[in-house]
Amino acid sequence: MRLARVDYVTNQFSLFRKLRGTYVSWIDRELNVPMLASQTSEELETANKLLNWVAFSCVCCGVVWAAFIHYHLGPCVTVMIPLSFSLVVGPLLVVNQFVRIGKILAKAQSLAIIFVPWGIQLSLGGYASGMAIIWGLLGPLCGMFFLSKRVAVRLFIIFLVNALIAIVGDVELSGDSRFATDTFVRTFYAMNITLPSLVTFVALWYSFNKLNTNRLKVAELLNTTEERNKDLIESINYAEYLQHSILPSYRKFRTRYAKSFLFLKPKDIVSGDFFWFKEVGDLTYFAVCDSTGHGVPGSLISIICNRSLCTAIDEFGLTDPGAILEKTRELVMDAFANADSKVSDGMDVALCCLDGEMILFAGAKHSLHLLRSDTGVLEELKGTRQSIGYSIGGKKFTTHVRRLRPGDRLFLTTDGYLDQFGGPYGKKFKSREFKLLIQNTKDLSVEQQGVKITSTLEDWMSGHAQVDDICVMGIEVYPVKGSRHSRKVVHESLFQ
Amino acid sequence: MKEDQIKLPELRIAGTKQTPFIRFDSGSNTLELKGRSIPEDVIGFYLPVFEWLNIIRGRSGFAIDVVIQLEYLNTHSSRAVVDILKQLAGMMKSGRKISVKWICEDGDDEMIEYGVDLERVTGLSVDMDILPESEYDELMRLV
Repeated sequence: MRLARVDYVTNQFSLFRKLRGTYVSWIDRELNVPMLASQTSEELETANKLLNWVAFSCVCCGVVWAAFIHYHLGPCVTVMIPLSFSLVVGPLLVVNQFVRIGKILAKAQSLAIIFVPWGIQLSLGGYASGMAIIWGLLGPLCGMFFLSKRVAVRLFIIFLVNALIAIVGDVELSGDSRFATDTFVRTFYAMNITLPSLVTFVALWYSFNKLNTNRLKVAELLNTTEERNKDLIESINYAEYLQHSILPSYRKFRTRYAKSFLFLKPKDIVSGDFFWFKEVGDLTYFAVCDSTGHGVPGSLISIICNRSLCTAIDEFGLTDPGAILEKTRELVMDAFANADSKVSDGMDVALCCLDGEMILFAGAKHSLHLLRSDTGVLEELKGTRQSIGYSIGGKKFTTHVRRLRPGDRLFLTTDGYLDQFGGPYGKKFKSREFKLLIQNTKDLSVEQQGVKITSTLEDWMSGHAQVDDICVMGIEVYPVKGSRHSRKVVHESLFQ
Repeated sequence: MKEDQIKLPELRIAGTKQTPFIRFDSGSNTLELKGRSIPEDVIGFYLPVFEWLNIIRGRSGFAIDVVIQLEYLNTHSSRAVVDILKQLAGMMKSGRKISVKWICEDGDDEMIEYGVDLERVTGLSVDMDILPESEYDELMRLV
């Protein structure tokens, strides 16, 4: 029980500390900056000029006010009050011309401009002082311009309290007002209204002008940036169009294999992931490829990889997927032979060769998921842990061979799908989940499965940024009897 | 005791959603990498680590424990991680003891295989620590 009480107190205390922390950080963020935040040296220069100008006007006024009071009321205590302003701020103003003491000058200026006129009003009384206290408004204004928001608020509160004291108290401390003539009072009113409003007006004019110029500058900058951005996007769009025209099209593949789907979701406009296929005689090759990187660099790599795959088949006459990947890897490394330093870019790939009733598969880091139509078992044929591209100590790519039955489905995916963050805890999707998804949707048609695979990921990643390009394909096969590879004795040993 | 044997310099990079938390604690001589590594500028991000490696290379002494718990790393980051470990492996040849612990989640085949690859590529012996999901998440939270 006692312990619980201590816990409670500690909790209360930590809650208080937390609240205080929030409050302090809010102040740090919000209130410790001037209204007109001066960042560049040019802006600081402008602020300093404005401060000098305001302080100079007020120092002059201090002298004039003192002379004026002296002229009308004779030598008296009240004369010393406006003069004290000039005596305090004047030297600081002079020093500021040689050594930058902007903060000190601004503080002295804003405090003096609140208290000095207040002193005049207390000394002469509300009527005879011509509402000198109006000058005090310049204090919080100075705070806003040159100090911080927090200081400005404090100065304003001081000003308000002072004004209330002066008005409610309505004292005439010095009694100098007994010498005040009607002319003195009227002129004093005029002076106390004209001069502060003039200073305020000019300062505001100056800053609004400055703000406006800045706004126009920013708008112009934004405009150029937007234009440049548009140009860039247009150029990337065209790159995408070119990439599309160079890489094999899925639409063409679909006319041959209607029972299939492709889910391609680039992170940026152009994709490093791509679908690839090729028909040579009675063999159909298809693959999903994942070039290193994404966006424009990824798409450049995709062109090289596409070329290399085609060359390995067309010019070197290779038919075994493992051998094709081996050759492709060589060709991709050759493509970067001119580089000054070793380029280890390339791709990961899952490559299938559909040959009659046989499927031959080789993977570079990617797997083939084979869903059997009769048993409903999902088998994963793992690719070799080796990318296409330069690396130390290369491994040989293994070819897996399976005999297909009608209705068997093949699924290929790049790691973009498996590595996508999402779900309630922002975790990776992972391959276990992917396999479960395929098995759970096996009663749907393969196209429907594609829809499900797409929507599952969209749901999963809602609110999370896409990590990488995504490319998933699925196909249902109805193999014809016999196969070219099965006639070759060399591959006979590979069959299981 | 020589001056340079007293302590190795500290290293600390705060983690973000895109970049891992990296710390070298000179008290326990542990180098930790935790989180995700998908920085836009991989070279720039890992530069402080390589600078730190350059400083400690010349210094003899203490063994360093490396603990890596990365949830995801893009291709370019993985190259950086391999480079870091290779440099440490280089120091091992000149007498420093290095141990590497690779923490991954049970079922995350990609990262498990990655750890196995690291052993092969860097020549360091990597101690694989495969944790169930809850423990893995708990450890990740302690960043």
